[in-house]
Amino acid sequence: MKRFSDRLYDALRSVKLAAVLIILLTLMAVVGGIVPQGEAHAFYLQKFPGAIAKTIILLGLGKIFSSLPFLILSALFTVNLTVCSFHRIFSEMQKPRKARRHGPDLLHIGLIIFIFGGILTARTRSEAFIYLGKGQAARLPDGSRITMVDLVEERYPDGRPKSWESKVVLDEGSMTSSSASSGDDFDTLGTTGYMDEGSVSVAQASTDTLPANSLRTVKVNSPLRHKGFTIYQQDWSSDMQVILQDAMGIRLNLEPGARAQMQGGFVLYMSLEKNPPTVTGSEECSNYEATFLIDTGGNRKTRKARKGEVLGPFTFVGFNEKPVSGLKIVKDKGYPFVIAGLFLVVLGTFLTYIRKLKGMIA
Amino acid sequence: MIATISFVLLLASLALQAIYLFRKDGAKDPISPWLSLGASGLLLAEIIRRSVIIKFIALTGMFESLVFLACLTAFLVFALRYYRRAREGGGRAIAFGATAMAVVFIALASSPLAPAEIQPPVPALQSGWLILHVSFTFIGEVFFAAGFVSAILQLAAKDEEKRRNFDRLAYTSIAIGYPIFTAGALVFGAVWAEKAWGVWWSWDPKETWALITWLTYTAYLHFRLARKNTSKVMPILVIAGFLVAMFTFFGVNFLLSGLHSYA
Repeated sequence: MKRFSDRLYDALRSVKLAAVLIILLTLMAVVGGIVPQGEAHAFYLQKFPGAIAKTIILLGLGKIFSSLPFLILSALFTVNLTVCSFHRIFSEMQKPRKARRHGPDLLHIGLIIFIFGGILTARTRSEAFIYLGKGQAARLPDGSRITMVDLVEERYPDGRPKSWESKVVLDEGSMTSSSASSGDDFDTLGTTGYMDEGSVSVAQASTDTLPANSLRTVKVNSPLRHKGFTIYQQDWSSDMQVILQDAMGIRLNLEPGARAQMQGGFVLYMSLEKNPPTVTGSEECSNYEATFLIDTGGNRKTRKARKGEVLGPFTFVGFNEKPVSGLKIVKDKGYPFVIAGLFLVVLGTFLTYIRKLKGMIA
Repeated sequence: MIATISFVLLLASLALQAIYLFRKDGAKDPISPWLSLGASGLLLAEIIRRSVIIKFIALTGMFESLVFLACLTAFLVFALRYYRRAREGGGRAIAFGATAMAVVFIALASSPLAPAEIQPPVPALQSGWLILHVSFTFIGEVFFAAGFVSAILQLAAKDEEKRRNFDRLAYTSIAIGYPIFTAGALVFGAVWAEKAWGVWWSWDPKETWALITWLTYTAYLHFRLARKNTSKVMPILVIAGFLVAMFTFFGVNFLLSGLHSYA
């Protein structure tokens, strides 16, 4: 009679166990493919009938791919794969060289490397999202600086987007701000970006001193790799600046959150709203209403204004649309393993079934 | 226009095949494979025409995907005549089923579900990985389609020899389609997703259902390895795999929302 360890070994390497685990993983994936994943409880209560919604919430079907049963099955599958691979490779090595078939081994080893990469990604991947306008810079988590030198947008004749490109420079420069506004005594330092996590900060930067030969392009489908980070072109939108004009006729462009100084106070541009169309049905800027915070000697009040209205010493003369580029910055240590694993999976599957291809045309 | 002519050619091929399928003298059908090849060529020409207009490989929308799938399926019908095992038994029925599928794909392409408007690709679709992802996935699925028809015939067959023959044909189809589908749907898809979205896997419904398709065929291949007989589990898994593949292609687009809204 076989020892317990031998029986356990045989069970863990068995094809039958693999088949059963694959079926169970498939069934769980079907549930995950039907039930929307990662939503709040309120979403399921709203979208599904009461009993079904409660079942989804109670059984955690909305997070099935990170649930304990799925993870246990995946772990058992990985053990099965590893033991089976070990056994197979050992058995194949006993055979004469010409009789050996290493396709399944490559496939299985590829899957093990892929799973390792997947775990590494799940445990260590981090990402941040920033919006940069022309002349703005952000500090990356490794200390280097990314400066947006130019934004290039192309559209098809029907208005659909054709190309979005961010021209950036990556260097170790400082983040000392320089005013992008025409008014020297106005603070227009813009923090227009936001981030999902951590340590990416955004500020104005001078592009005059940046070395021209270090210009790099980030495009959709063509990310920029830099010191372990990958920078992706993810979004393209625009910030509406308001233009204020003082008594001297000097015009000031203000981004949301920026302020224009005045005697004993300031005017701060807060936000912009689009009101319903006017009587004429015009879609022009006259439909927009900007909200300002006006500080006069410490006395603050908010005020909504349309183009042409007077705000203290300034006249609100118009808008300026400034394109901003949404960049996603990702650090994923697992990806090289994932790619290497997938490469072996493809190679392994082709080697395994290549004999079928050979015998196809008779 | 080209799609319509292809549709007519495939219908004619289908009608001829139906006649020869029920003839008892076993006479060869000399015309229908060539009609299918003609339809396939015309559909390929349509893809090339659209590609020239948009200056990119025209595989970026539902209409183009269906035309490409029909083109490949029609070509498979022609290629089957050169496959010995198919010639020897069951090949005609498989060719008939595959032609019927190609007809359905073109009919769907002509429906309002798949707008035929020629549009150049938005930035996210301008990638060589997209071409590899889509073409390999569909080539794999065409073999799955052949496996699907074989599996149905296997279940319907009454004598053991026919069952075995259809089982072999189904296995051969899956064994060829599986590596191609693995490379296209999962590997090239993951590489493209990483380049375009910055994440190689996001449990998007299309990704999840492509994985389910792959797992179903993986289960089939392992079951076959474990049980070398022609039990009904095998053809049922092959049929389920193809139905899941088609749900991944059509159903997900219309029933589930996700990142693959254009495909």
